[in-house]
Amino acid sequence: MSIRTPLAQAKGLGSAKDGVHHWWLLRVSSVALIPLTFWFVYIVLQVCFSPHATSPAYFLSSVYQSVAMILFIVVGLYHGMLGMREVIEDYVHCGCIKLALLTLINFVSIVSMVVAVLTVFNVQ
Amino acid sequence: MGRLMSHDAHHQTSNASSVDRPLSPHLTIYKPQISSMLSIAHRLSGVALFVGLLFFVWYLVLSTYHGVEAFAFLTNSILGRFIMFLWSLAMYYHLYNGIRHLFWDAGMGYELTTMRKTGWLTIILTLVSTLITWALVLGSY
Repeated sequence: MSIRTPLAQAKGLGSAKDGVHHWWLLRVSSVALIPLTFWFVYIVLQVCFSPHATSPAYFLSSVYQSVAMILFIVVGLYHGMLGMREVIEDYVHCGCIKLALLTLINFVSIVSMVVAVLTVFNVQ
Repeated sequence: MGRLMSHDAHHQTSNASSVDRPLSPHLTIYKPQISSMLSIAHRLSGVALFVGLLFFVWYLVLSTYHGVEAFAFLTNSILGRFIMFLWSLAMYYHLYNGIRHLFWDAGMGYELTTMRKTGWLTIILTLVSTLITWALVLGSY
């Protein structure tokens, strides 16, 4: 139950227009990224230590590795999208430029997520 | 001194706001402290990580379809390795400081003494992790 007045809810006052959900998602994604980041370092070191691997994709034939890679990229980019949104809202005040930048970042992130997921699928 | 920017959503400019009024100095006079320095470092590293992650995704895609040449610049050139070193520094820093943030979100660690201790712990962990990682990476060549 929200204690905001209906007008406040409709107008969405403030630079971000809404905040708590965004704040929470940032926290949840950051918790997920803690193990995923350490896993990512492990995979990178694996690539360095195997001379015949030409790319991290070499290790993605296992289901667990590909799931982790997809999660790392998707959750990482999602966390980054939310974080970049905060940065832009703090420094960009012109409505048009702010909207354009946020949309651009969201689109680029989502496109990259889709491309990454399909690439990992194709490696299987 | 600069013009005082109006932060309200309507961007109304009146005669009053187009006059240059003197402002108090801030960034030029405020003593850098571990609280503020680590905070801006968290933001900067976050932005850098985001850009770097986008690059990594496309590197993964290209190297999957085109093989070694896609990542030769990153691994074989000094500049490429330096960029990766910086990115790993940002990654470890953002990771450990992020965990520090999560403790704050749970309501713990706001005392100034604790804040300074965890701040230095973050810096030390970051440096140690980065050095160990790169010792391993360079040792694999």
